[in-house]
Amino acid sequence: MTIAAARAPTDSAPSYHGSGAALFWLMVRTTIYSLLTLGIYRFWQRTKMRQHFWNGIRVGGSPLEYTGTGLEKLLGFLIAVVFLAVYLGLFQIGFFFLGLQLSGGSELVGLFTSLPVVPLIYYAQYRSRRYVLSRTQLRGIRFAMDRDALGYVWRALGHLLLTAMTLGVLYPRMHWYLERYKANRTCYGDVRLLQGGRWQMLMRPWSAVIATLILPFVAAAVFVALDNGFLAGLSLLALLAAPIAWIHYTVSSFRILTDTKSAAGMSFMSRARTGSVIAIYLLGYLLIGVIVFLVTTTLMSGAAVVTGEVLKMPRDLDGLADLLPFVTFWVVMLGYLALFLMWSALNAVFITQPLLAHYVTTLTIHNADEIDTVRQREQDDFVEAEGFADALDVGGAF
Amino acid sequence: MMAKGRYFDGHAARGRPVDLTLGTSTLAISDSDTGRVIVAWPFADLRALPGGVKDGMFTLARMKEAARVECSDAALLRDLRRQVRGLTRGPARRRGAGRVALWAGAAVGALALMIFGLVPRLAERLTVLIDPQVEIAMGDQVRARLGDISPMLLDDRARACVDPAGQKALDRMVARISRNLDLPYPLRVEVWDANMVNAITLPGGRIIFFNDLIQQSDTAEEVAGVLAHEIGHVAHRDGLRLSLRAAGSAGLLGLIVGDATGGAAAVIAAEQLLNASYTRGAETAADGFAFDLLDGANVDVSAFAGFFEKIGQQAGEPPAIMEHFATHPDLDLRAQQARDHGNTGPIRPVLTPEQWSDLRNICDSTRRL
Repeated sequence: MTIAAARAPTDSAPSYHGSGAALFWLMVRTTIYSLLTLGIYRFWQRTKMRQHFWNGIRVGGSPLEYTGTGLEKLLGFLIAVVFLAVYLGLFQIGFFFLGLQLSGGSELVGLFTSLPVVPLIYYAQYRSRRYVLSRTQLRGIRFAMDRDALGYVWRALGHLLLTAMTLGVLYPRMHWYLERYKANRTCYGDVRLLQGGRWQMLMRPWSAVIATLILPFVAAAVFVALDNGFLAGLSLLALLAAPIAWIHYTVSSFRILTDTKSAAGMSFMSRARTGSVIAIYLLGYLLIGVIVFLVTTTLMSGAAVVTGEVLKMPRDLDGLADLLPFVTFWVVMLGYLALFLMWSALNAVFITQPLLAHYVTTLTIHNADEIDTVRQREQDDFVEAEGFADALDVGGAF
Repeated sequence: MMAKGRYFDGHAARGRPVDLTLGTSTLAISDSDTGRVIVAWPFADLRALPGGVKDGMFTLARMKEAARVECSDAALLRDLRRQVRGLTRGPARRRGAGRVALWAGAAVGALALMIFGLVPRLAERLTVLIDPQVEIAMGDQVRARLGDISPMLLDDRARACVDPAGQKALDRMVARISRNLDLPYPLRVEVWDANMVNAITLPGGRIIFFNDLIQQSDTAEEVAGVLAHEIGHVAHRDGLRLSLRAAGSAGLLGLIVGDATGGAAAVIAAEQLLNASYTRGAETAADGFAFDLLDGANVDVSAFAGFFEKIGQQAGEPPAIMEHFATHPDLDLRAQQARDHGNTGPIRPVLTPEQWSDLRNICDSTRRL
């Protein structure tokens, strides 16, 4: 091997190896534990899910590693509850009071009450991303994110105001600026990620959302003002295409933002496709529907047989006939739990994992050999983990 | 035996090919090119990271260290499983459960302090600070909104009753009951023709009777009792106070539950329980207020007891468990309290038989809400 060949830029494509069967049984087991512990086990469940997903992703042949623990998530959650209980209680009642006084008793005052939550949502999102990154490793080298959650909050609020004032038309501007804020504070070892490009790149895919989501509402409002209910209803028909436009934007913006990111000498390219993502959703939900239908039918006929047996029991055995309501109750309860279990397990296997695999396997890292030059960084210790995101329920998919 | 692997030292991301040799108490990691041993990991510190991948590749780690070995040798993993105890436990260090217990206590304490202490107290303080005009505007909007949705919620009968003679009788009753009162705003009492045995108080001094309550009452005194109870809510500004409290504690219980494991339903039930307990307190206070008010206006207090007993018989006794969810206190108890209170002065009829008959016919002429 000559030196020239070793230095030639190499492309590397990450791969995904997570097993569906392993994920299915992991989800069944951990969902049962979560139900039995009234939800407390969910912190460990999320830890194990991430371990599974991370371990399935390979970059340059090495799997990602998730080092977070369930206990630190529980602790972070409890800390967040203490803070949020006081913060939300005081601010919500204060905002309601001020809103009443300032508006002279307007019924819209309820909208004021939820305002104190908004900055917290962005705070929680930044913190939870920082937590996840600080618990992610590749080749024993840690990822990390700078401690700038407050800067993120006030920037997000400013952008949010602008987005609201433009009825959402300028959302891509907010999206790009916030993504750059987060990306430029993300590190792998001693290498920093850089977000390039400009926000106007995202306007093209967003135009489909404007056409199918924002314009119909504006048009409907105008027609309602003109007292033309028929045209108002007609323009709302365009909303039917909104889900597709939304998926198209999600995928395209991911692609565009990925293509304009770089780290040290490395750059990235994504070939994620809207069509594939829609196909995953359609196929996944179809499969889930068929499986849930088959299992429910089997369970129900089983239940019918059991109930029938109870009914056939000799009438003089009063005690046994009394059992009927209990049998029905437990059949219904077990049916509900079985459905819930199947739903969470099948959703992870047929939706979440295929989506993740699609985004991972359509990625290319240019000049991937640069990764060998990355050096280790300090561990980022912080106690609240992703507690705020968990308490406010604004966490990501997993 | 020997297996191939890739070693990362935890300082740099560059890996190197290594040979892995399983000893009796250590795993020796040696450079494939030079054959030199880089490091030997004792079994006690050795961990294998969770699998779940199709091709069986796994990662080995040493406790509390960032160094990693990647390997795909199934035979090695099998041998490791056999020889190393606790192999698949996580490699990260663990925090004490004591801190969790401490913070769990703090979380429960903070929620209890807010929901039962600070928020109700603040609601009480802030209620007094709100300008009565603001509250009147608020009540007017609630009234308008109720008027909009009532035809859907109740039935087509939902209309305002405006028979002039009946209205006059009602005004007489209101004037008689509230003559000694100093309220922050004037009372505005009306009757709606809807089939509910109930009456409601809105913020800003608005009271709405539903006609079936008047029809099911045997005497004007029973209606007067309900009226006095509703005036109690007005005097305590309960509508506004409970709105403030609800705004303050909104979502606090929801903090505890993250995902939908049926926990959301539990939160709704718990909030129902909480609201009911708050409302029950307000109802008991309004009852006490009503007894004094009726007594002061020389109206028979025990007639109110008769009313409670009658709706109690109609509804049947609710199961004991439901009592915690009920917004109103136990009916028998309320009847007993009314009787115990009794009258201290003389008793005079609240309406003449003619006026009572007029009031019962108030829905002879109606208007859209």
